[in-house]
Amino acid sequence: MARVRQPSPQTAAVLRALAADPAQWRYGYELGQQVGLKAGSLYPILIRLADRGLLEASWESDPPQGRPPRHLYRLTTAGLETATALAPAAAPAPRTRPEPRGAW
Amino acid sequence: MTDPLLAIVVRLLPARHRDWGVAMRAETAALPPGLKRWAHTLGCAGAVLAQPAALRAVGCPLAALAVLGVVLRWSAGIADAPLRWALVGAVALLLTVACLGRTVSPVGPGAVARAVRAGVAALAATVTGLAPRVRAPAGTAGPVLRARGIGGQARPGD
Repeated sequence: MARVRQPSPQTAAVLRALAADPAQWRYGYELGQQVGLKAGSLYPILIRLADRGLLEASWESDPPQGRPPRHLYRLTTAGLETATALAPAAAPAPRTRPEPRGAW
Repeated sequence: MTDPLLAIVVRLLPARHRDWGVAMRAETAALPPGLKRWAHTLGCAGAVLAQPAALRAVGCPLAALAVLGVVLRWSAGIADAPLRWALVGAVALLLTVACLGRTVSPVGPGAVARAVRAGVAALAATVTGLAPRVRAPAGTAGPVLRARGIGGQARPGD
């Protein structure tokens, strides 16, 4: 029997934030600011979501001169379904404690 | 300063996640210099270093150096210098194979291949560890360890 893993509160917060406007591409830093996650916690979540096919990433098409293009993120259809299936947020803001190591 | 640091750290990412390292660097470069940029850089570095591939990449050479240090210390009690350095060399070779085996060995990264490599390494290490006990000391013709018959009965000459 397949085991359905509930996403961590941090992952759920990221999913919800992305699902709020699923068509819009988001920058990682702003997304982290919105959900209260620092880079050390946010990137493992984003990478894991992308590996599971829940998140798609693309590169900024027209970056300012002298600056490399940034990554942009949005949910895939499967990611949006996962986010929709999540229970409504119980806590107002996620903690910034990193997830267990080795999870990705 | 933040970008060179991050450029070094993201090299620890496995090939399939290399583009995430580029993304982290680009995101960092978009931040104004100062505390925010440093905080983001350190966060990204932590995210990279916490993943198993990076832990292996950093931990394996450190563990190998530690083992080599222990062997050097342990082998100081071996009076025969050629034997001592042969042992140290053999252990160093084994450690090199253990660290580089995943990337340069002809066998794959699967569980069976790993078990075979680990088994061979353990066998070689055991043989190497036992070598000083069976080596004949200078001036004697026979082995150091005397053979005993079945049931512990001493053979003639014991």
